[in-house]
Amino acid sequence: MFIYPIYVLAPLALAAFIALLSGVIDKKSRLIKYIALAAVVSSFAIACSIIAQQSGIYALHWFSFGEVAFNITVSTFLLNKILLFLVGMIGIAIFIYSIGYMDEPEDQNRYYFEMLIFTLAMMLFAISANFISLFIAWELLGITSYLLIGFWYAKSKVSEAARAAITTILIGDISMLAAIVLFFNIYHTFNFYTLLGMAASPLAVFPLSFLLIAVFTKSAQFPFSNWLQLAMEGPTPVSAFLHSSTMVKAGVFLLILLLPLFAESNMLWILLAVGLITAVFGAMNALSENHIKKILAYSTIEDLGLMIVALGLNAVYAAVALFIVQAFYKALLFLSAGYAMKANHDREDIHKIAVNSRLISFSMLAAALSLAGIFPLSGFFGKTAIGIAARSNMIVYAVLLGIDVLSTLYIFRWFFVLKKNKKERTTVRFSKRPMEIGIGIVLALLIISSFAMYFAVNYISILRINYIKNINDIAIETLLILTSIAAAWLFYRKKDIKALSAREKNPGIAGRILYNNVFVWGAYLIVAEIIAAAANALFYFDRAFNRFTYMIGKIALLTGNALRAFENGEVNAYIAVFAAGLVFLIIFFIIK
Amino acid sequence: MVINNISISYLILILVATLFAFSISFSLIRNKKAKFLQLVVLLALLALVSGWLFISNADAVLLNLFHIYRFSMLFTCLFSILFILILVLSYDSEADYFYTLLGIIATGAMIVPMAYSLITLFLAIEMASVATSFAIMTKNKIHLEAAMKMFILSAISVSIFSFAMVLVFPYNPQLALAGLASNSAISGNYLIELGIVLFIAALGFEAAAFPFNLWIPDVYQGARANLTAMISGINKKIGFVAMMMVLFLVFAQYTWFFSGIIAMLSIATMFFGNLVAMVQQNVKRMLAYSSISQAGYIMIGIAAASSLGLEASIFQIIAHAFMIIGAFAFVFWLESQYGMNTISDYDGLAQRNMFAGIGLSILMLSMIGIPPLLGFYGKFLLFSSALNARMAVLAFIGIINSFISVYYYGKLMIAMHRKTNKKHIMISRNIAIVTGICIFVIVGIGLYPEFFMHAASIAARALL
Repeated sequence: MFIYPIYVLAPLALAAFIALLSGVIDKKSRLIKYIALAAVVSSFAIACSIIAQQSGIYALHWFSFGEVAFNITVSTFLLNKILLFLVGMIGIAIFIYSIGYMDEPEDQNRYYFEMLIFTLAMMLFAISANFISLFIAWELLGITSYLLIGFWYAKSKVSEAARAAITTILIGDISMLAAIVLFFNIYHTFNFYTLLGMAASPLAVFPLSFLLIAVFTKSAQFPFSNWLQLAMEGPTPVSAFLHSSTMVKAGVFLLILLLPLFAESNMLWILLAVGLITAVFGAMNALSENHIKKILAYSTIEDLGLMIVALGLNAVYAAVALFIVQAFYKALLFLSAGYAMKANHDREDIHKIAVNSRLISFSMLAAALSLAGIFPLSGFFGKTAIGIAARSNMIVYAVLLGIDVLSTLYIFRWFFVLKKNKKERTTVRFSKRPMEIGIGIVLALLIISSFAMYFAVNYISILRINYIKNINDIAIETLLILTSIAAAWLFYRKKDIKALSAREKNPGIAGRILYNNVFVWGAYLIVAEIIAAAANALFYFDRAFNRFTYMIGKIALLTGNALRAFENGEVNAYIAVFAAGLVFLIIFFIIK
Repeated sequence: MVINNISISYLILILVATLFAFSISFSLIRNKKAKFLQLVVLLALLALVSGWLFISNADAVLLNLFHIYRFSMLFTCLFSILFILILVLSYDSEADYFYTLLGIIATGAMIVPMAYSLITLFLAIEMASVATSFAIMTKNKIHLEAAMKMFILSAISVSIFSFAMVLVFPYNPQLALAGLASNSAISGNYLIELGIVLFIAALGFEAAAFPFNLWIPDVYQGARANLTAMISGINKKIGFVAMMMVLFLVFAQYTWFFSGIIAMLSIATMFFGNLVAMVQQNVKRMLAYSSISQAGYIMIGIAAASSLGLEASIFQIIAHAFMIIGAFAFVFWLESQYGMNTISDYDGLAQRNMFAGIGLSILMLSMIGIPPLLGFYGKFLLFSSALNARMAVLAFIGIINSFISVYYYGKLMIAMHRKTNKKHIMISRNIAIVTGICIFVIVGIGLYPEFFMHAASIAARALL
């Protein structure tokens, strides 16, 4: 039986509708979490059958204005299938985890409604093949992520974080729209694949620049990276979903799809530069941060930077490999962090959180090793692929090695400090089982993906030759990482927790520089000041303009009042006006 | 008998005739429910048959008087559905003779788009408009005044229409719409051009073009709101259909001449409607002026005189019919049951009844032309047709008028969403059905406008 790809959205839409309705009827619905889970599972089942089907591209006619047809076009090529699978699989784990994590009976409907729409948007994004469906998904992602980040909107910190996110995302939305319009004006098509098949135009630089801004805001690249760490105020399942397979990956995915256009317009160096800067800053910040989730957020920023670097090197394989493996280890890290926070009275400082559960410790270790890039785990294949791609450019390669060391240091600092704390006497009661199942699924996925990557590398001869050819570099890289782990052990594991905590509370100059990205925060402030000054100047113009419009409104009202004189309620006057109009028309006809 | 499109076309005539016969015979029946049911069933049948004929691409001239083709079938179908809405709206609130009059109006409205000769057109229009002024009339003084105004002014438009017919008579004694086109194609014929001017004036009366529309606010305000819904949703649209038929079937060679006149009238109508609507306090009167301004928008498409322009006009006619009937349905309910008339009476309506607050807001937003709603596509098509016809000024003025209209629609919306201590109010079932259908059409078709756009473009191409 043939299934249209768009059907994958149906269960999610239905469940979201149910969540919306039941929110009106009953504020404390107990059933909605299971309905949501069932929807995600059935959506994943449909996705699987689509993945098993032949690839193809399908257009659903929406409407047309004259010659211009607005279609919802979807495709099921390999990349679409990969993202669809990632979203579905991790989505299931997240929704199971949510059953345990969101244990307050209030606002369940709101949470699941937003989560379902978010998943729906990401699924639509995964299969979209033209700018129309892409833009719908893009906007839905933006709005729902804003709602989800600000889920506990009563806290002022949370609402500010949500506002920061939506401000950045809206900048991207506007540039996305500009890019779409410019693309259409240049190429007269909305379809990606038609676009890719067309001859390069010298004008393409303009839409591509706008597209880059949109991608950088969505994927939290420098200088739009700040919203992602603020977004940690949202519920943990949301962060896990946001950082592993959805939202921030959307920008990178779009870049992977349209990379040939950037290559044709010689814009890859921008990707390379921005990616490297972002990755370095992300890793530096992660090393000096104390918030359990913010470390991971900075790590995501770094990972995304690495993917952009890979794309800047035109190494699509490396970008896709990291794209896939990052989803698993980042989801696992976030889910275990959420569990640890839940077990420690929702504390956020890594120095005050103790990890007792064996499953959690093991998952954290596995994910950290994968992030660092130790051989049997899947992270290794992603990191080394980028290393191999960067081999030709020594500067980039050196920076990448530095980033590798930094990322190993911060993730093992995170792990060792968390493990160091003693057990607390008071235990927090919460429903552990669903959260453990969710973590277990992602852990299994991590291990399965490691095997899968291993076999894929062995199976595809070009990759295998590549790895064998560069075996020396890989060995050096692994040694470097192992040394960094040892350094982290010495530095964080051996020291006394109180001394460490005190020292990190008052960081030295080095720590401060690390945290402030040398000058970035200051630069943000300067930019903000300039914008504020410009806004102030515009205010006067605005006020004048306001007065002007007010005057026009007054004139319109006065005219309306004057015109009312025609309407005096007397029929003979109406007839007179009728006759006058007729005479006027006849005069017009005679003149003509 | 072979069942083909021709025989089904005769079915339309039989149905219209039955409609007329039934409505005459209604004076013998006492049971209101029976009358209601008979009319609804007949109209539903008409909608089905005409919808079928529209889809199956029928094209037949019957008795040399009626033309069954895609343009006429689209409007017959639309009017049948709208009349059903009006019937449901006025269920249980009208006197006995109302159903007779409504049947006669419906007969007239069905025949207008089907007319094949000017005589048929003339008779059908007058059938509808005279019956309407009688339907408005009751013993109530206000109603009586409104009815008299409409009657007297429509008498003037009748005289002008017949004079215009006399002017074109020498060129085609049969007065067939299509036959005239070939004979009147003599450039620089002053009699024909004067005829066009008079036709525009006479039909501008029905279609609410300034300065032939001064009766509109008084009549809309004076009539009961269910009848106002009918006048603005159907009678005005009849005027537009007749105008399009006369201009594009009879005077197809004279587009260069009438397009300028229509553009001028359109600008005057838009400004008049919008500017005066701004200063109104009475909701019904405000909506009357807003419907005048919408008439101005519709005329943009006729002025563009292209297939895109006609498509835009037809689309906007359909869209506006649903919007204004929905809005007046709410007004009818609030006025007849709670005596709410002015904008300040509407304070806190959203809090007093959530459905009314949200529904009326959606209708207002659609009339402004906010994207996912039906009104947006109408305006978009209209303005782009003006741009295509190199009438950028017309499009620009249309956009300015859309700005102005935000003021008074917004005023009503703000009033509705104020906080209030007033009691909760209940919506009656028939109002909920009518407004629900209108809002469904506006939102549902707004999300998938291709359906109406395709229908409108087919009808436009059939007319040209």
